[in-house]
Amino acid sequence: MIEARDSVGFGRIGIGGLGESVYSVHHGDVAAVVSKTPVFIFDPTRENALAHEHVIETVMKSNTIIPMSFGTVFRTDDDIREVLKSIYPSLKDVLKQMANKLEFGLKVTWDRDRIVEELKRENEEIHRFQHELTRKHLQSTYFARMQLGRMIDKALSERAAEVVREIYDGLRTVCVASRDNKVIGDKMIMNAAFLIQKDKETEFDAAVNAVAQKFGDRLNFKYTGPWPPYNFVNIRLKLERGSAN
Amino acid sequence: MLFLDDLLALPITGFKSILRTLAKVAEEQYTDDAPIKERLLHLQVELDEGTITEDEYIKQEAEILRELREIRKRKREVAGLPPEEATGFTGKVKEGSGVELTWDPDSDDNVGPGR
Repeated sequence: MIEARDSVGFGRIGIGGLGESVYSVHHGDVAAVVSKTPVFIFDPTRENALAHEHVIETVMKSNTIIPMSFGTVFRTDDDIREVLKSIYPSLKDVLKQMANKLEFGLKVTWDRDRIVEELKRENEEIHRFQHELTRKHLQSTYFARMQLGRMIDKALSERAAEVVREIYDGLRTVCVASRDNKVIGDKMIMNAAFLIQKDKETEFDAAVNAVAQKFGDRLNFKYTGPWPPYNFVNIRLKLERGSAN
Repeated sequence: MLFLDDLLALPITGFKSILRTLAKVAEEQYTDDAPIKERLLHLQVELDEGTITEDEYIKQEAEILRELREIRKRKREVAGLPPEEATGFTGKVKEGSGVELTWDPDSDDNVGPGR
């Protein structure tokens, strides 16, 4: 959804691979960017997601977007106009708040095995415990190994929390807001989204680079965007499906 | 694990209630799509990291999406709804619909872990 009084076309880039036109459906000065489709349910395949992303990229070049969730299909343009009308006040307000803001994603991973080795050397408690194990030939007992495992897990999550805090500290002054998402897999320690003022984009870039450089090859930064503010707006639409006929 | 804990936490009100709990847990697992969605996320990370090829991704993605469709179908069955209708949404939105921010623009404390 965007702010626009006059109808806009974005080319034949619609999702579904049929080259459908992407156009705008208006209620006053707000609009939904849509394309026609013969199907009602879109699987979140990579192909569909990339097509959706490409449309968003194109629209974002000249508009502030409030992103609808992937694969929302309405019966007709009139239905869309009705929805826009119903949510107009809150939509207008959020569009205003989001003007000139962009979202970036930052996923940080580390080499877990390498950090565990570091902890075994540097963490006094773990170092001592492992030394004891070897000395008393306890290495093979189940409970001793369990205890060592628990100590390492605890130390790992403490180290991760420290690192994540440091990363946030490095970015705090150049962003508006942040969201922590759940990490994926056991190598990822941070899966965050940042909301940036458009004119601070270069500064944010530089800050991310500076933080990444500080940690060198110990951390791996995956920085993506700009995205529309997926993580910073919440669209609550309680919709009803039409009857099949 | 959840299974056993749930059973142990039960007050002793007879075998019937245990069976009911078992049925409920089974039903939840039968209709829970969260682990499958998580598998899709993991798969994307693996593709990004280059641990799997694009071909493998597409193959596994198809399998995951098939399971998701299956669960969506079961959910509707369990809820007593007819199979997914081949139609889009209407323009009617229920009370409480709208757009909101997930952060507070009036606060200067919007950045950091745990938000």
